[in-house]
Amino acid sequence: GDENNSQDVVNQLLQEALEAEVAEAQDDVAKTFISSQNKEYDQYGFLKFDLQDSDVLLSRANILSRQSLEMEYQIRDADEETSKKIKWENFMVGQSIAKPLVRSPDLKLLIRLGIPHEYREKIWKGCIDFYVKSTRDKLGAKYYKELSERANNNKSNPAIKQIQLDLLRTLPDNRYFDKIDSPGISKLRRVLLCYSVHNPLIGYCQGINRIAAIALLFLREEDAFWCLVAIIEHLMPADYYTTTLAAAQADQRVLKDLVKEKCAALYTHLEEKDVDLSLFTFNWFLTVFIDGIRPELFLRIWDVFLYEGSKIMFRYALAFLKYAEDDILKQPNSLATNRYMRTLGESITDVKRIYQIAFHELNPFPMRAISNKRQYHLQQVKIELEELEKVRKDMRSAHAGDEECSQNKQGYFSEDDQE
Amino acid sequence: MTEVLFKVIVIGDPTVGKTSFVQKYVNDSFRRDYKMTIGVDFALKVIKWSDKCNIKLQLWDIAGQERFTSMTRVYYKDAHACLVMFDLTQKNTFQSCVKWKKDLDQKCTLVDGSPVPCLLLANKNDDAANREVTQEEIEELCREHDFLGWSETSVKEGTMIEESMGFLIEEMMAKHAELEGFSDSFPAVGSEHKIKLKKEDSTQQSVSKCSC
Repeated sequence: GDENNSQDVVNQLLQEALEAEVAEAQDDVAKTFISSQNKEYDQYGFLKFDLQDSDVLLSRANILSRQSLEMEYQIRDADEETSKKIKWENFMVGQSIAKPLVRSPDLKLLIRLGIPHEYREKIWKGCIDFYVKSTRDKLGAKYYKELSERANNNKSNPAIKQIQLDLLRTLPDNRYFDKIDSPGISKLRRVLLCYSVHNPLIGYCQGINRIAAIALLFLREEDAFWCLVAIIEHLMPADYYTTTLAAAQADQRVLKDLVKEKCAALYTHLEEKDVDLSLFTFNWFLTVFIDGIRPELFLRIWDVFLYEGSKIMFRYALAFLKYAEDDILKQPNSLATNRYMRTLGESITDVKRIYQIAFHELNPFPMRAISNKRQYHLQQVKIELEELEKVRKDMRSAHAGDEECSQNKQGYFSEDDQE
Repeated sequence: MTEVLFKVIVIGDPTVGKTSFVQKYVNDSFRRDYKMTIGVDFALKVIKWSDKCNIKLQLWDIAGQERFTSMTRVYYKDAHACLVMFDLTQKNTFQSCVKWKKDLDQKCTLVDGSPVPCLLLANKNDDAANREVTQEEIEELCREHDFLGWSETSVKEGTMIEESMGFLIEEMMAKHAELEGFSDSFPAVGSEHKIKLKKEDSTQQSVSKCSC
């Protein structure tokens, strides 16, 4: 009896101590959070606190648990990181400013391991040159400046308004883009305006503002513009950002096919729960994984993307799904699955694990098959869009008839609906 | 305990305040710096409707740029109700509401084939100085294009958000009862929950039902 009693006392004391500590910690956290207007940013300028979390303590706890995970990974991967660093140093010794980057199997593997922060500008620029160097040379050194002037003089450019509205909604959690006078904002505005003048067929599509902003984190303004050109006009299939986003839609169907092949259980689960994968993956593809994914991870994806091209997006999307497959399968219904899927990208912290899945466990990964699927689905999407357009026109003409009969005022349906 | 799940889609031009509305309604928070929505985002709110019934409300916050409408069919699927939103200080966003309504009706209906109930929301009425749309214009558009009703809102000041959603929930519950033949099991759809609907005068405290 005595033993039990003293155990109870100990338990109670422990409990009290814990409660006191938690209360104190809560106080401390609240204080440091409020008093320290010097917010915490990572090396890329992203805010580490998630201000969207209304619960400060919870938010702080999330950050701490993430940091501890990151530290765990750092220790786990320390040897590999060192070896990677040495390999990159050796590689960079052979590079000079005048020498263009040359593709090689070694470089490809090195890039898959991730480009060290200090070399990212140089390697990204080198990759971008693969695609745009000849165009850039042809158009001449003054091209960007001329575009700027044309953009300034063209007040009727339909893209201006939306670009302006979106500037502060691009990367609100990054210190270079969080206020109207932040250093990145005026550059972002110019890059987007120049692009809309350079390629009026695309003009401005929401999503490319994010791409331009990430490019601006590492590249000079003019290079960021060419990065946008490389991505939209070379790395991505045609029609990715045009008025129907047809190719981006087709890619969602390609992904669905691949999920069926590579993660059959997951595919069945999503079918059974009537969850449409594209709701969660479309923004990954359209923004090259910037939307809802942690910077360390999407920057690694960008490294490989800029070197190898847009098909690697399927490797990563599938790797994300495989990584979370067990958890997704545990979701009991469509509502729960939706909720889980919504934050899937954000929840991935183990960059190395993703790399392993993407480039080892998913193999074989024949690129030819992806090209064929892309072609097939693009055609399907285009047919469907045409049908939809036909229905819409029919409805409009039918409605126009009504209007005439009832002698109504001109309807709003005649508003310009082409961009 | 019964549980009813409703899907409500929120559509309208970019930057009229769709994400802010959803966040305000679900989390009671307002920020100036939401990221733009690419594709679609979701939020969930559970409402205790009666002792016997909870409503799970899934809000689908849909990207507003024109070119994204080629994907809206997927987003509209199985919607129970819709909010079409515009910005009172940007007339073109008001004019687009017709386009959004047509896009919806063309791609989606309720299971019985009737149109998805649609409420028109005129946001940013706190900015009276820059107002570009009159109540008469809203009333007319609302009537002509078969909206259920309309209301001015200010997400910033938090006005008429609960009321608008309450109005929509009433409609969905009524429709739900009708479709499922459950009218007996939902006695809660009674007067105590009803928002006063008005026809003629448009003070700002209630949702105006279109007189059509």
